[in-house]
Amino acid sequence: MLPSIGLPVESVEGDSIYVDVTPNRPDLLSIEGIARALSTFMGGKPKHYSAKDSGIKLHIDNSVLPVRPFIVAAVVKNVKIDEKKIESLMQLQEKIHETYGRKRRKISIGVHNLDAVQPPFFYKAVEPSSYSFIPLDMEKKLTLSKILELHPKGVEYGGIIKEFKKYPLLVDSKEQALSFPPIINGELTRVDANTKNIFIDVTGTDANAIMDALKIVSLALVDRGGELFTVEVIGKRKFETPDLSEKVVALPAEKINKMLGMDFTEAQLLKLLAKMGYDSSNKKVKMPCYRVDIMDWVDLAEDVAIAHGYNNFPPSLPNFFSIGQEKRSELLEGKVRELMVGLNFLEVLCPNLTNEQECFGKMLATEKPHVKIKNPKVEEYTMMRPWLAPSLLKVISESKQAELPIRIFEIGDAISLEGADVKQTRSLACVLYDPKATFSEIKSFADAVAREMGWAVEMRPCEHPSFIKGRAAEIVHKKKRVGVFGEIHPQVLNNFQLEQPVALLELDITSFL
Amino acid sequence: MLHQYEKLVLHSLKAGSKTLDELADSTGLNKDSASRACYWLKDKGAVEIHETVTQGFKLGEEGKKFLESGFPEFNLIKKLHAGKAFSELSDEEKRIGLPWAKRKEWLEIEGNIFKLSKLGEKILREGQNEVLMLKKISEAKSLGKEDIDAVKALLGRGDVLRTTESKQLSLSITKKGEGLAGKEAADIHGEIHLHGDVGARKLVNTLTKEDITTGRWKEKEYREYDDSPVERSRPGKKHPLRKAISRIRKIFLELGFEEMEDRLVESSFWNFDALFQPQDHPARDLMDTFYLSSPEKISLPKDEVVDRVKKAHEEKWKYKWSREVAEQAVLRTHDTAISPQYMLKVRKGEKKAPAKFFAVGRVYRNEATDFKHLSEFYQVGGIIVYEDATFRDLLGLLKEFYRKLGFEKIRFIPNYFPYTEPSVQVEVYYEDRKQWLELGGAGVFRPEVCLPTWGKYPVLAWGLGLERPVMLMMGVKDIRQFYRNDVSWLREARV
Repeated sequence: MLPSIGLPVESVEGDSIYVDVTPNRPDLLSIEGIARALSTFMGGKPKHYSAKDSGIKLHIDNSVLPVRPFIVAAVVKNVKIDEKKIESLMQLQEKIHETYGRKRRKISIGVHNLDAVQPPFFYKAVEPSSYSFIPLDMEKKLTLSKILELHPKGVEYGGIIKEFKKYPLLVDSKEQALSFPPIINGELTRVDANTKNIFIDVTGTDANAIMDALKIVSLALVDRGGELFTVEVIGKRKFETPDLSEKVVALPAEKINKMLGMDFTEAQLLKLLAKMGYDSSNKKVKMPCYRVDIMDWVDLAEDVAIAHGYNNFPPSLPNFFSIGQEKRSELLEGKVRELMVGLNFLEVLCPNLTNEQECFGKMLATEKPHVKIKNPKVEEYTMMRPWLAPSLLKVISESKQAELPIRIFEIGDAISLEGADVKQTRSLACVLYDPKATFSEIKSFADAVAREMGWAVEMRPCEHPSFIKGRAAEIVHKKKRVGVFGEIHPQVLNNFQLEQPVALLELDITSFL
Repeated sequence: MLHQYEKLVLHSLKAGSKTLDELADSTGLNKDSASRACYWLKDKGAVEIHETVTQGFKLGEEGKKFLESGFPEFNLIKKLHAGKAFSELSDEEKRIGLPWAKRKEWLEIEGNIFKLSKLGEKILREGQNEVLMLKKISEAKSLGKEDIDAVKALLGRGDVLRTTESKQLSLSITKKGEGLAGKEAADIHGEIHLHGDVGARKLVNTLTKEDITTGRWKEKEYREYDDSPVERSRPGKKHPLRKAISRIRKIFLELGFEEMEDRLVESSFWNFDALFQPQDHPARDLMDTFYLSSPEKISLPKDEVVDRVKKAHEEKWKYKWSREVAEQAVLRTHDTAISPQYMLKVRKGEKKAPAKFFAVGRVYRNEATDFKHLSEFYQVGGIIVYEDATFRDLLGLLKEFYRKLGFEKIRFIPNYFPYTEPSVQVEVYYEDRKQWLELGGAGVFRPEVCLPTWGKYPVLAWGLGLERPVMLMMGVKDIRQFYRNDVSWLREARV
């Protein structure tokens, strides 16, 4: 049942079910939201929500506009709450913070015991050291700047506001702090099992997103039996929050049917949409106020498909004719691969990610401009490889137990920089690891590849720091060096902890396209 | 066929068990090669290897000196015998030689005068056997019974003697090995004569050109082969993943798809923005994406597509879109990054719609690797650019693809991607494990993706994993196995 409404079950442990909630559906981040979705899916009536005026006003001071401009609020009265419900409410808040709220930067929610404070409320920005209060889970008053230093949440989220001279603060008419968004609430308004009436504030950088979050949190409490009241937010303009209006659109039946490839009647479509919580009248669809993800008719179409069940769609195939066409480079590399296998080489596939030490240092090669990672997580991966040779030497050094001789090859990406442009080519590299591996032997393979592929190349002696002097040659095609082969320098062998001679060939095959 | 080294080793061991040194001597191989050949033969069950530790001795610093210029006590009695005065002795002779000469009773003391004892005179005449022993050790000759006392005496004395431990492999041939050696010998000599029951009949091992052309084969009988192990032939082979890629490419080509030319380094614009991922989307986080410091930026196409994408973001996601963010260079996080570029080609007439495109290529995620995750792996992506394409076509195509790949049971589960609607998670049923496995994502590109690039709607799209189905087919438990490239594993690996 859960997967069919878009909630893949991650695991089941005893009485607990763990589900994955996709980031477009924050309304499913609470037990109440999931129950709401399941209820309509199983035939329950779509729910409508409304709120009365609480008479409470929330004033926005201009000082907070440059820091964290938006705030909305709601009141839920007569809630019956216990420890378990408080925990589930916290979980809902944290989940919204993490994903939809971009780690509190975009959205930050505070839930308060309304009876501990005296409205109206004021949202403003103050000097960090000018105001102090007791933050949640602490015993002493701390200034805002001390909270960033000492409170775990201050340490975790302080980065969001540190750059500002003043920090946001929500206080009541007696200057008592409700919260220091987006960091921490005051101990004063802590919600516990005795709390009857709840005040919810949501601050952030996106006016729409905070309204969505407010609806999701307050409706979760309403579904638990609370009564919802609006708060009047007064800034440059006045408005009541939360906004529970339901958008109404004409049923885009034709579009939906064409895209899905189905012939649903309007009645069928409305029935399917009702399963997903949409109400309707006169062929108009009312979108549930908590479905904050609906942007366009395609979102309705997806809900129709989900309600119908993806696996109930008769599969079909696109009804036009087309001719398969492989890309030219694959065609070429396929031929080279066949050839190498025919020459008794074993294919390996190595990562393109590598590091400077492996790629240049161990190879005694001078560093050339290359594609570098800005944010590497491990030292091993700091760049993209401009050649394949080091990868193959690494393979051999990690295959010590393998019987000799070893003959391996790879056809892979070589990625380099030419000026500001990234150059991505396909390279062939092959290696002989054998007490008898010589220049002549690898040359015979270079020769075989060029001959079999019909490539006009010239081979002439060259100097290359990775090879023994006098035992290296370059492959030249149209006056450009496209490859190199020879016997690897003993120092390089030492660097890779190899104990036998290595003869190696590397050739840019893209240049023969 | 055995390796050359193996033949030499078997031949030598057939004559008797040997230490590795002896084996190296008798075969002419160096110790490395000989030991390697022994381990290969051990795998074949032809040779047994025992490791023994032998104690030996070598000269310490003092020992070397004493060997060269004599023991101080010996030099001492020599000088005294020659009538030198006590004051003429060296410091060493006095300090070390005197106590030792006394302890060994080479000297007798009468009052204040030292005198050679009978034993001392004998030593002076016959030489000191400790010196002979040191000489033997320095020349690595084996020690005799007569040396035992000298060794015992000297082991405790300063840095004269040091003990050494050497590991020695002792190698012997098994029954199976003898069989192998016999066969090899037969192969070498071509013909063997058997007596006894068979009488004088010739049993022949090799059929020669001469036999065939002259008709001599009629007079011969050929030796039967037994089931003794043979050397493994090592063919060249494609990598298991490459075989899977070939198969997948073939399926798409058969279904009439054109293969896309793709790039690993992309601008964020193509990787994210063109796919309607808002610029503050968590997937764009540094934690998940490899951003580049060189090149840091990739310039955006000089095309109105940039403005159209910008407009879609600003209207629908309601934020201020930044060009700089879109220019950031990344290693593509999915191969869907190439799809909107081909949709733009269709708009420009470089490609004709309706069209089917696919690509198999590497993608990158900046995450720690473990048995299920790699930072670099393959994806199989594709799109169908067709105004009359339907969601049913998408499901049908995926079903067909997996059926051709050998997975008969497949199911679709709702999922979410910012760029598709409806979005599908594809799962196949793996009989051997009686389990559903998630293999990839698919969906119909949103109008916000289709309209800025192609200008029309809809486009069907998918991005499927490659390694996981291959792991299933090969029974590989650890995804890293594919890129570890252990040559021994690759030689045995079969898809």
